[in-house]
Amino acid sequence: MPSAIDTLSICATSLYLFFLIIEAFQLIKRKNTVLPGFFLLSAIILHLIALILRTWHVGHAPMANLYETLLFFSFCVAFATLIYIIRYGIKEIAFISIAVAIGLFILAILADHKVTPLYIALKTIWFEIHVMASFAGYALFTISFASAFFFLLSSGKEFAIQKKYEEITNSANVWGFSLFSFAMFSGAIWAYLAWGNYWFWEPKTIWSFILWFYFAGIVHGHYLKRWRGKPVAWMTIFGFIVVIFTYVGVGLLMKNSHAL
Amino acid sequence: MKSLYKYLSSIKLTIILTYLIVINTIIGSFILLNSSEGYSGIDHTLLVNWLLKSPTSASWWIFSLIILLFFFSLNTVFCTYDRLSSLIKAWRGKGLSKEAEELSLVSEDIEKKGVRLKTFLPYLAHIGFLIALFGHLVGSLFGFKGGEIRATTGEIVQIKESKNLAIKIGDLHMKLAKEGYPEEMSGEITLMKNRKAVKGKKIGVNSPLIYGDVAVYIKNVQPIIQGFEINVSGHGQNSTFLLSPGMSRSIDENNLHIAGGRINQRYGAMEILLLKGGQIIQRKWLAPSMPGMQGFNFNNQNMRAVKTRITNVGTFTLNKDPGALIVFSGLGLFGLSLFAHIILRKRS
Repeated sequence: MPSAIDTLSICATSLYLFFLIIEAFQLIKRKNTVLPGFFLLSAIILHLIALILRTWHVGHAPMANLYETLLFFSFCVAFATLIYIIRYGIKEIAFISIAVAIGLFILAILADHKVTPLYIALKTIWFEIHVMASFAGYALFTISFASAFFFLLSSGKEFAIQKKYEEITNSANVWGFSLFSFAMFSGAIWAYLAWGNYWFWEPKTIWSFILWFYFAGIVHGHYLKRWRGKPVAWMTIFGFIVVIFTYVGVGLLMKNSHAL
Repeated sequence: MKSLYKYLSSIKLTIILTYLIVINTIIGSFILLNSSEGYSGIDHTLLVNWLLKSPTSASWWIFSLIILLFFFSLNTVFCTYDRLSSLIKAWRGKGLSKEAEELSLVSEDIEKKGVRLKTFLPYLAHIGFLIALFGHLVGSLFGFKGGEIRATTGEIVQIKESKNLAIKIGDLHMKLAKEGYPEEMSGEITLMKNRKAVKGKKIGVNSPLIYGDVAVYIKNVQPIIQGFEINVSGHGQNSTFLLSPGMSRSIDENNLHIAGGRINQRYGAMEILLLKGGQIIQRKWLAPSMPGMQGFNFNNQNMRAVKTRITNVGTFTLNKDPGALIVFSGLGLFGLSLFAHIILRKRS
């Protein structure tokens, strides 16, 4: 089973890469075919199969260690990219978001594949809800990071395109903030049921609070005329660093009792 | 006064406070990293109590966070009141105030379609946030976090922090996985208030007993040696009985008693005392699994530990948090309003 998951992972990574290469080629040649879309969809399907096989293999949702969360996070990023491409018809954001997904996927392939037994407190539906909502939030913050980057890059170009990037940034920030709020609240309920506290003074919880407030600021900033545009875009880009630090930085740099 | 009110209710202040909170908490997270021992116990006591006892070097950023959150709440109250009253006026056809127009997206939407119920959703989310903060304050002021309670089946334990509460321990269960970590853990618990049972439940991890604002949690279940089955033979008798610490039994007609002393859980041994007329005349450590320590002779009587009797001891905590339900209600209102807002906004 692990070798089948690895094979699927390598195939999916290659397809994501093909998607990016063909998309870049089409952009230069100003062509627009369905081929890159086919590659992206195929990669996402293979990625999903890899996740299902991993779930089957370990007997629980694949979110219990670094390898599994990297695999899941990269899937969320790729899936969110597909949704935003379909919804807004802007493929450029994929150059960043799919590159991030590939990076995460490669890290997953390199990470320790050991099966982590679920600690007794993790055997609850709240674990799946909390982790899935967190990574869905992270994935949407990755999309907003990509579109904010292209918004700043398209400065001085066609207004309609810039407006679309701004719309994507705002939409992904608001959805990301909402899903991350849901992750925080489900985590609070879970912690209350398991340990009797809905808040813990430990680095992961504190950094989740920082991330939540940071994006609350961005979401509010969008409602102010003078904050819309460049200030929100820059804040969103910096927000991605906060996302990455909350996800891996806390675990690597700080003593942390929180699971990934 | 009007300009102060305008500033206190502005989104500009919201953003300033938001990023001050972020910066303050980032600094705090690194302080916590560098002196983690200074924060031991913070999660096991009420924050107010911890703040009063802890050194300023460890607690200053939590104090400043509370102050910033206070101003943030104040800003949310003023902002929500200001925009809501303005929206209600606009709903009645009196037009949108200049302050409410600061919210460009809202005013654009209102100009196009007028004030509709969904326009109020972000403010419902604000109210939810305020309710959650209020709940946290209530829990911090009027609740308590109980210390660890270790007890075995059949025991009734009085709660130190609340004189009228006690818990009665029923069957305890723990199953270890092949790898040695706990796979299942549960305990039958009865909560007693003023010596009357008010609620009973088989509790487990993620499944506490909740009665009003009181919750009982199971932290651990461990097997411990309860005592040994002792066989005494000689002087025409041969009997086997359970001996636990504190228990004693007569073993001959001359008032000779055998009693259970201390237990060494690590080595699986128990101290056996022989008493005559209330005086200890011999002490011996017995351990059924250790050669040479399984028995001894005294006055032509043979005493042997034949079996170890194991029982489970559970570790529990009892917390009282009158604000928990308020917190979760607030968070629920916040979440539902937020999702309703973005879903309805998209559809429009």
